[in-house]
Amino acid sequence: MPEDQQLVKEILDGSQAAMEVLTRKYYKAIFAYVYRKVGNRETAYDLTQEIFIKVFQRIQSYSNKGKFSSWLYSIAVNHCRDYWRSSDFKQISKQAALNEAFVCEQNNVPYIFERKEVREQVKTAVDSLPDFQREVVILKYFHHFKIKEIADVTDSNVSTVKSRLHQGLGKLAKLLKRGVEDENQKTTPYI
Amino acid sequence: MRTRKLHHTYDTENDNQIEELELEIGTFLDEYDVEYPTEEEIMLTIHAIRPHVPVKENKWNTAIKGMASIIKQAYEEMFYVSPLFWTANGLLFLIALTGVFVMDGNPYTMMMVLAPIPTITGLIEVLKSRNSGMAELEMSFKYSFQELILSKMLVVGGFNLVINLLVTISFGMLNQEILVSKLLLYWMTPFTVFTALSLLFVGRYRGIYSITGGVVLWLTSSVFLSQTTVVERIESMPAEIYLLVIAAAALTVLFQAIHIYKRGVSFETNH
Amino acid sequence: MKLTIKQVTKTFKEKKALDAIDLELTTGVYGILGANGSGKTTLMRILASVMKPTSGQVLLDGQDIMAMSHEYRNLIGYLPQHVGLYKNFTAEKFLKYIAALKGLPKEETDEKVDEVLELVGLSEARRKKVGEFSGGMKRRVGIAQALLNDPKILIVDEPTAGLDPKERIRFRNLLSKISSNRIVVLSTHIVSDIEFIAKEVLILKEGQLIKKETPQRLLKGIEDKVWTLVIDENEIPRYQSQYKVGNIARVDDRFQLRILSDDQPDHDAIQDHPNLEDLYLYYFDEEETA
Repeated sequence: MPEDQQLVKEILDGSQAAMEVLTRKYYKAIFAYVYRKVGNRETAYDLTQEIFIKVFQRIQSYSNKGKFSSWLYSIAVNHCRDYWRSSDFKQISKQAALNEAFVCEQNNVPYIFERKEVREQVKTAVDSLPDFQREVVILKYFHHFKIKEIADVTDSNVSTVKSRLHQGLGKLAKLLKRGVEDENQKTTPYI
Repeated sequence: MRTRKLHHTYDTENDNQIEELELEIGTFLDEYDVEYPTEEEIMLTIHAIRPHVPVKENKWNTAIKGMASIIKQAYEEMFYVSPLFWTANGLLFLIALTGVFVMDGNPYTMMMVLAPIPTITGLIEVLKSRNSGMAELEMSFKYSFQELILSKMLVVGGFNLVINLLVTISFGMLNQEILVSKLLLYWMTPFTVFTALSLLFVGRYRGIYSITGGVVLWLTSSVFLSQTTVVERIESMPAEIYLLVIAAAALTVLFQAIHIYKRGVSFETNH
Repeated sequence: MKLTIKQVTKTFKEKKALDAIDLELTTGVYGILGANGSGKTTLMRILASVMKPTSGQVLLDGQDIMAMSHEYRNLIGYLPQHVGLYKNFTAEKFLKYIAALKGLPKEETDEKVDEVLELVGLSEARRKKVGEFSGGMKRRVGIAQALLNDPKILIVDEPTAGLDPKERIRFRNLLSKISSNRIVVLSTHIVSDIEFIAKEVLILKEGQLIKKETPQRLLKGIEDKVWTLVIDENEIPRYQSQYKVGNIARVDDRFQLRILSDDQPDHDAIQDHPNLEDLYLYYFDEEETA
């Protein structure tokens, strides 16, 4: 994308405005990726900020060869992986679970409840996927990446991505459909 | 479980299955919306990024930084230049002084002939790493190879400059008839020209050739200078021409140094 | 820490020295096996960032090493195959000089030089001129300089070439001592150098990576292909022309041949356990192993 390259050029010349434009352009996409990857809003916010800081620290080493967005996503993917491995992950995730439980109780309005339940189910299912599978599923489904792009961004190859994708989606389908069947079973007595 | 068994065959069937699975669970996945940060939160992030935006590269600053690191390295290099270099060149200038004072030679031509010698012999030091097979190793160091070459050249050139100045001063003090300005012109010209040539050589040719080339060039010019007619003609040249040559040579030195610093010295052999 | 080699190709004029190499290296010792001209040295030079690949790139944790420049060179220790040392320098002075070139802070230099000299067993000889050292000692100086900056990636090209067996063993022990927490890439054409210390063996042939396995797995691959056979002297040439023949040992007045073959070369031939020498012979031609 020539537009991104132009912005990068201006950023290299020290333009704060160009940085803001570029950040805003990708902020939501990156946030969405991180959010679905870590499954927690606060953590996703912090990680997204760290990712963008990393991006601008390394902007000099971004070579114009590839697409800027691919480069950006690969930093995001790696940063999330690092976070996953880091020690503070476990602590935070415990705390987050507590917070979320609290939030859930507060939002206990019957109307949203039903939708929210499906959402929570999906979220739990996605969270249960192994790291590498979750990555590719999110990039493919929510970010509409092509297989080749996913391979580039996750530093692997096309066949690996396909197999991860296949396994991940298969697992999700099993989890989610079983969830629905459970629901159906619950409701059968009324029919 | 069927799908799992199949994951080893990466063909169109697999692609289709991926698509089918996506369609199948799409309605579920679509429910997984994102709780995006508020505008204020995004703004906070942008503020947090600000300090990490590269500062507009100040050409002067980088140039000064580059110079500083070369000078620092040059200082280090001084301790590792072989003692032979110092003593040989020191001796040479003692000979020059004796030639002028004891044997009553022409101090101007003497200076002109001797001025570039330390630079030429210094090339041996500069190219030492190539001749002893250290170049490849030195390229892998934090200080880049080009920085090393330039800092070595700086040591050699600096030493040359100092020694020439010393001789000029001693001539000036011991012999009242000598025109210091003329003397300066007479050694500055060959000195700058030879330094420029050395840098051109260092950037292009390998090893011992450049030293041989330098010595040959110097010898030919010296023979020329020993001819009285040539000396007379040189002496009759106006100072402006000398200044012009010095300026041109100095510019070459500058550009060549920048060139080496930026582009490096090629190392693309295969053996 | 992960070093990724992505589609690295290097061409010299017409010749392809490296052909689309893909590799991933993590902490541990990697032994690169290959004959002369297999592209070993070219790969090492590219890893050491002294040579640029014609195409492809090398990434350290996702960052291009060429773009990292100083930052990358600060992380590596490199010992080229043919390294000259400044002959008139003493070992100590030489290392101090290299420390300066590597940008080590002055106050750390003395301590670090002592440390590496101790590690390579040259403390006694520190004031001797490098020019007077034996081949083995020079190699050790080479390793010492590579270790000065405590590199996270250590690249040593043919470190045991020209060393006598005693020095080779010593060198091997030294390598295994320093290999923790680093990526060590070691090239050699002497198999026993890496048999016990390598996490994985990479076999390069004509610029291509043909194997990347643990030594054990590699040996398993040729498990049923090593035979020994006792024959008369006049039969030797026949076997040599038909099979890949390794070691030849005299047994009384006859000769025992070590033969690599997919099928039993003779009904008297007995199967034997493979070693890495056999492996090398299996992948490379006989004359290359000399």
